[in-house]
Amino acid sequence: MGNISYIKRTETIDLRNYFNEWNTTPIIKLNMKGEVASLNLAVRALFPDLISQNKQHPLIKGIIEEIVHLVQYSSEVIIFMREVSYLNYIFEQQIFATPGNDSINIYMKDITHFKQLDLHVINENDIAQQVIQDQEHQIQLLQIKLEQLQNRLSQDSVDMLERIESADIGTWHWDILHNIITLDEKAKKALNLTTEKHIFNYENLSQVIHPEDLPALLIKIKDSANNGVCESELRFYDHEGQVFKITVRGKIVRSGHQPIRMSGIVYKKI
Amino acid sequence: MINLSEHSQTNELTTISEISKVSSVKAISALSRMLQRPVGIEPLSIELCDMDDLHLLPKHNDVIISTFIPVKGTIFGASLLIYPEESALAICDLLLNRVSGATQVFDDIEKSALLEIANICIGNYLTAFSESLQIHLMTHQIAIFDQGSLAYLNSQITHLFLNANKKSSIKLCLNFHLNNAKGMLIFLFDKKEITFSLMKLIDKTCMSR
Repeated sequence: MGNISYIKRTETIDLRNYFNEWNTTPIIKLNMKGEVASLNLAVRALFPDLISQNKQHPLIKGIIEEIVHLVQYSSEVIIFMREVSYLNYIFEQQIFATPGNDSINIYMKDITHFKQLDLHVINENDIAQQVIQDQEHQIQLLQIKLEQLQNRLSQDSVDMLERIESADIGTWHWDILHNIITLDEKAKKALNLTTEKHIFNYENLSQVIHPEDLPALLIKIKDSANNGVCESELRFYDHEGQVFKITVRGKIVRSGHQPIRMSGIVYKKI
Repeated sequence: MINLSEHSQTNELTTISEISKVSSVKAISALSRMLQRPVGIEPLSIELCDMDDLHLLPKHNDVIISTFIPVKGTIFGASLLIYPEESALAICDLLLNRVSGATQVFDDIEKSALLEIANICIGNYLTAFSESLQIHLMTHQIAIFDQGSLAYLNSQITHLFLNANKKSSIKLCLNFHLNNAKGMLIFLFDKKEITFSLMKLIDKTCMSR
């Protein structure tokens, strides 16, 4: 069995000081006059000039002036959180002043990195805001352009309708799937149809077409299934049996390969 | 002979008081960080209150500014930040970066600023308090600003507790000072629920040994 040696302690250990000494957080202890009472190992290593500069050191300067007016109240503790810049670093200081004990404890935390991140976030936010503003501006410009195009389109439509109106051109619509042909007033007039109804079918209308024109019309309709457009000059009979010529033009609309409807114009050939 | 119930009650209040001291430091640190000013705190007071005879503050007739946030979770409670009128105006000056004396009335922005302080202080306090007791506490999303008589506020809080069938509470009171302003942070926790939570914590601690 080996010898056991005991170290006899001759001084009392202040536990708080002991833990403060080895704490990696820089801890500064001042008295209520603002003079340095003790510094832990971290402070002594990081800020060796603190002892020589004492009250004038930037890390301590201003603390007493800030808290002194609160001493008049029966404050048990005065708590002060502040940020201090020193040697390109930013520290957050948690200051706990206890006037009854004549002591001020300052716990320091290096927040330089957080502050840089904050700045970075602010910068990124500014850039994002700028991009958003630019995009909004672009959207506004596109909206103006769209509005102009809509106005132009609307004007073109009005012009076209006016032209159709003045040119005695009728319009027609053929629902191929249901075999329904709809004629407007001008189309009926062009075809000399006196009936009140506007809805017809292919069979109705083929009865008033000159029989010699029908085969050619059927071929053209069939062709239009391929090239989409059909134009034909036809001879029609009016209700008195007189023959007159009309021009009919139409465009086929498909769903997939299936022709579903055809729309177009019709006018009397002069 | 020792009165055991009285003895355990004193222990309970001492324990809650110690937990509250830590929580108060968190709350006031957050306030100081927000205002960039030192804040002095007086010793924390703790007392057992009968809700039929509640006195938030000794003087009942004063006009005060208060922000009230209900406390929800494991323990039913209420939290209040109370200021004298001139102090609330001075704090608004600080928060809104105005020259001293510039704030004269409590408009939306001033109310919002004071409610923000309440949220930060009370939120920090409750976080630390609930972590220590290992319970869940949260502030209600409603925060109420009031400018009026303390007696009215007193009766409102009394009704809040009595309507929830809470007959007694533990009142924690912390006075603070900053610049030329002062205020008071008050917490009321249901007595039965806080006792139960504390007992549970002691049980847990004993079981883990």
